[in-house]
Amino acid sequence: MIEVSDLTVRYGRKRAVDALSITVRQGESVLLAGANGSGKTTLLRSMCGLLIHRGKPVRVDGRTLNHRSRRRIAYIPASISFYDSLRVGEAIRLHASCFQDFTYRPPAEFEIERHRRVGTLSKGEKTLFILSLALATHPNYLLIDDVIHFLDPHLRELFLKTILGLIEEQQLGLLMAAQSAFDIEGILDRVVVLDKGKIVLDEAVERLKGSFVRVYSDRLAANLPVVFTRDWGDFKEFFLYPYSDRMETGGRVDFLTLSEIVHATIGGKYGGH
Amino acid sequence: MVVIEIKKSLRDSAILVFILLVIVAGMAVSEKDPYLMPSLELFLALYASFAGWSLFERERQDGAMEYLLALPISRLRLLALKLAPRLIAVALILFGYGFIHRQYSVHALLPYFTFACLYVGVFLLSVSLSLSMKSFIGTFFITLFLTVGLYSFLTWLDPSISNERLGLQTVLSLATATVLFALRFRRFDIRPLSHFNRRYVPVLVLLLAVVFTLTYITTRSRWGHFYLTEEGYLLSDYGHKTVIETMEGGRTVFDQGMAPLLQADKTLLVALGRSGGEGDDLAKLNLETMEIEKRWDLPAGYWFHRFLENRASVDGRPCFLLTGPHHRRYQILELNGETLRFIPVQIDFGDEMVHQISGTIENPVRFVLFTGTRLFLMEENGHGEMWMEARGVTSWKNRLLVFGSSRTVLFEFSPEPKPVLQIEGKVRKIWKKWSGDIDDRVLVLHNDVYELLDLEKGSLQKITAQDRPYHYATNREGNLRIVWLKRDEITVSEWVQDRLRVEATWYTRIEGLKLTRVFPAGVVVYGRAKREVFRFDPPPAGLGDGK
Repeated sequence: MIEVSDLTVRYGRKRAVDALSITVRQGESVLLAGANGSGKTTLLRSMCGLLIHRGKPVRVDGRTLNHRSRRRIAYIPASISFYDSLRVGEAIRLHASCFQDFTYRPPAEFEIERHRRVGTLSKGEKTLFILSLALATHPNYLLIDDVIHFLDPHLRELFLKTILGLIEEQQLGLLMAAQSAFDIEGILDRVVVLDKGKIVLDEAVERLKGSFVRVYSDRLAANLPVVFTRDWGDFKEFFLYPYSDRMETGGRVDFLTLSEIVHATIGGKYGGH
Repeated sequence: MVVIEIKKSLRDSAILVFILLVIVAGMAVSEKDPYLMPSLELFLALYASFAGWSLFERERQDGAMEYLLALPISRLRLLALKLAPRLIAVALILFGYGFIHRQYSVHALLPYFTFACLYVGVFLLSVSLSLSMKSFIGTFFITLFLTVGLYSFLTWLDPSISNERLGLQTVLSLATATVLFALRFRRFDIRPLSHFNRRYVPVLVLLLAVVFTLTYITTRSRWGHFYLTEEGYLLSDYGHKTVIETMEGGRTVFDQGMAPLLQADKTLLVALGRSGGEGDDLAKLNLETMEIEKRWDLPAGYWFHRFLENRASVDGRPCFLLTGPHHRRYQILELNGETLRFIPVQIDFGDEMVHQISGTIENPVRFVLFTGTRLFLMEENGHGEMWMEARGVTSWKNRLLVFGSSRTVLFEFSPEPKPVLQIEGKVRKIWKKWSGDIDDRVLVLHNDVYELLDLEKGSLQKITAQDRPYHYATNREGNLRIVWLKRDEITVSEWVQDRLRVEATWYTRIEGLKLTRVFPAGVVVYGRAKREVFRFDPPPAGLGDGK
């Protein structure tokens, strides 16, 4: 389990992450959603030691995060940072030299010529290549920043299939930052939504889908748990969470897909509520 | 990781290795170009700076910093892994240059060790700026400025500092910046570089300021042997090194000790220290060309007493006392034009050491040797015997002044000794510091009164003086010049027609620790990294900072 407790990270005066606590267990896959600047990348970087902060240290399987325990965590940054000038073969050897346990097994339909420079790979290819390298180190936890949109539908399917296999086989703990849950909804157990460096929503997917609703109405009773509202002029959209069917809404109630919930949550922020 | 770094270092160094090979080949087949070695030195400094600065250049260019920092390697190990191949490459290039320097050092700007230290200093400082500076040219100029600056600062503070110590102190001082960088790098993370720089650069600047300040506080110039020539050349002999400065600011450095013995016209007779302290040689230094005009080899292990007063003369030929191994053997060196004559001293001095040749007595020639407690007279064949016990001695032609504990007697040798003057009471000789002359007059403190003793006339005259005279010597006009020191005040008086006339009063601006030396040509006040020269002639008040 990766445990983050009371994490605060500043960039100058700005608090990118503010007293945030979160845990990710092995075998669990978590979506980390939030608007731009909400602190997703900062949180992921802190969890793999890329950001050094004061305060309580991040713990991995009960141990303080350091360069040794960092071996249990693989991280794919949004920048898909790598030595572009290296050839693929060299890159594999470089990565292998930093890990004791390394078995490079790219997905069956994804093989890159080893003489190619990493910089000549497309973003999608590079993402999948870095994922292959990351998984070759047999991590317990995989932290993925917002890279899914780099992949075309084919590579995305391959990407998700690979991860899904590992979650089931190796009890991999997954924390994936994304702006949308589209395509990945099937592999997720939990959703965490960040806003201004704080967790505003942390819920299991199934429970979230059953308790997050949209109501079309002119007005709602004051005692209903409205998370935010969108005003379309002729009518209003009210987002309720947690919702139960005993609530009297007086309007049409729509249960949302996870993707819609994430979208609405982020959109709600921009709606000014 | 190491393999990749080695490859990169090799790639970066390959061009330099190629250039070094071309230079070696060029030098082997053609005449030595005087600009080649200085150019190479500058080029190597550029390389050292680049090797240090480019520590994270690949990560910068490839955008791989996030990947690098996410690797399960501690920051310090990461730094070591990246630094080690560069250090090796930098060292190999330096050794390669060492080979060229050995063959063609004639035209190099700096001695090899000095260059090596500056080269390593530039490298270390560039490493410490590898994350903070985006511009290589900027890094190069800053590191070169600081390295050469610290080097020059140290030389300025302590001209006596040896090349080895100078180089090592420069490198070690600058290495603190690299240590600071390593310590700060432990907390380096993926935040924008400005975040790192905000915490690192001010501390680095502070550290460098502390380094320079501590250097200033702790570096003290070692007092050496100094000499001011009549032309105003200031010679500073530090044993392993001699610096000759002119009034116009010119500076010539010799990598060996050079003690002045005698000045004649534009040449200075000097004792040249041999390397390893294996004695001295005698040389004639041309003060116009600043080149050794002639050099005489002395018997191995013999050295000169480094005091100008410690000299005798036979018919105008200067004679010097040479002390041999373990202070147990002595020779008198007589210089006759370009010819040397050695007179081995055959006297047994027991456990005592001879520390003064106090002139000669003429008709027949006898050398006066003094051990501090006993006086010996030696004939020209080297044999002689103890003449009497004494507390001090000075001679003039055939007269010998012997200081005793309660009586001081002036003897005349014609040829047998005959007392011509006896002074009762406590008489203490005021030493002529660096006078350079064998004077016929001696200043003494007789029963707490300063008196001038004329050896020629055999007379004693009182001198009204509030303070102890610091120095006295005969000037060009044949008058006795006496210099008095009182804190920051230097008073030069002349003894003319039995009266003391103040020639000039100077005030030194050097505060704190200082050393004042009076020479036949003037007074020099040495402070830390600063000196003031007051010359007697031309007119005393016209030069230096005299008021």
